[in-house]
Amino acid sequence: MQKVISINLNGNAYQLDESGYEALREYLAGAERALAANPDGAEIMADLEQAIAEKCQRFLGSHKSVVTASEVDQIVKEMGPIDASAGEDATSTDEKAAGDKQGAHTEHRAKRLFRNPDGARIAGVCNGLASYFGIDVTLVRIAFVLMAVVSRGAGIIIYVAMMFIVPEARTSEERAAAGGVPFNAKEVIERAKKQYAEGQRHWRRQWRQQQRQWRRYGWASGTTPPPWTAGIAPLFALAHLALFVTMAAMTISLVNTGGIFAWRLPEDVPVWAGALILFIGYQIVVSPVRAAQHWSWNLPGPGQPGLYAFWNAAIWLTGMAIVVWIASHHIPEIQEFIHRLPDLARDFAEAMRQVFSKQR
Amino acid sequence: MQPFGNNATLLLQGSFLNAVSINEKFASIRKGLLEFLILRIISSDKVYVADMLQRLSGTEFATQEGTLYPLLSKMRREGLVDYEWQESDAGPPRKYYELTAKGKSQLAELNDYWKHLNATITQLGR
Repeated sequence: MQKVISINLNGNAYQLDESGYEALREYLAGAERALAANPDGAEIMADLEQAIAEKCQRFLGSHKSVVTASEVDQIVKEMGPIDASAGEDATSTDEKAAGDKQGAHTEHRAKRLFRNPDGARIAGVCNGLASYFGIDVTLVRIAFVLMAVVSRGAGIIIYVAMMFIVPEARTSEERAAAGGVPFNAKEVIERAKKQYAEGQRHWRRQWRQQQRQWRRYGWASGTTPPPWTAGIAPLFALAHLALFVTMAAMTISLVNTGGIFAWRLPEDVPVWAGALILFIGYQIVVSPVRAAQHWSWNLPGPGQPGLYAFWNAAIWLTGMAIVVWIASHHIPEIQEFIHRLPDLARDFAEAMRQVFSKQR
Repeated sequence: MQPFGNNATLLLQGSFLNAVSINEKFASIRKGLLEFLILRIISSDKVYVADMLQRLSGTEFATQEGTLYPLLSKMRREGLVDYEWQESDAGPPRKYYELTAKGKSQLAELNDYWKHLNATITQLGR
């Protein structure tokens, strides 16, 4: 049980629990010290109190009238340390402080589950889950496909349900919350220092995070590519399409004939495993192209941003439509492929069942 | 408004560590640009501090109340911005900031200077 303390923030009454009160008092006392020499100190203090009051409001509702200690901690973190010299000089010692602050600001941002439309295949459910758990999106997609097959379709229902339940990350802030922490140099350095003992493992994680970032926003997020890339931007979409068609042709060949064109799959490797390896290989090959595509969306020019992304999508959809039309009308192998798919799924489910029963 | 187009090529050539040091190298520049950005944000309309923070969040210039309030009070002392109280339907009245005439002319100057800087950077090679 905690004692509740009533406080007055710039004319508004709030109730805090005792440890929350201590934390807030400490923050405001620190602010007062930092602003002691500031001619507008009193006014800034009132502004800060007002801002804190508004943040408290966020945590209160008709059934909740007390702001807890952890909520106060979050508020204090959001407020950030008082930079009494803000704007006075840009090069002095508070450069470090500013960086640290930024680190603190982003480091503690709470992770939330969102659907991430950047680089989404369907509705961004897998993408969002991957960001949330900090694992590669391809793995999540494979897991979903496995689940859908093993559970005979229940996975698809789960996906559709999540499509409606999980909100889409619309603002950049939400996207940052979906990814937990946005890529931030200062933060990486701070963490690296702190977790130096963890060594390699940590860097590998950061590296994966960075790769995800690249996949999502292109290589240099937030930067403008050099103008000459405008000419080759449509090529990325065509390259992506070409790779996809190649992959599709290889998959069809594999499923229909048990080998890729002239090359035969070894006897002891089941067809579904070959298809899975092919799919993963495709993801690896296509990822730089996809990154380049995303990157080219940042190009400057009339109608930007959005124009290149639009043309990119238009080329992709048109290309796919043509490919599917030609394929379904003129290539009998496609029909064969579709007929073989249920068998493939059954083999796969059988293999999975064996794997799991062996474990038990 | 991305003056450092070379970042892209540098990042392409460089390693992950390179990206880290670039971000760090511009830390003081970002800090120095904050006042300019605040002027730009206020230029179009009367703005509430929470909305300024919202606009900046998610950008490289994300900042916090602890920095912004002292900066705004300094800018007001210099006569660049002023505020007026506006009633809010959720809680007490709020300060909405707007540019003064001096603030507007300063913003115009800074915009020109920024363009000039960009031109210089472009001129000096790629």
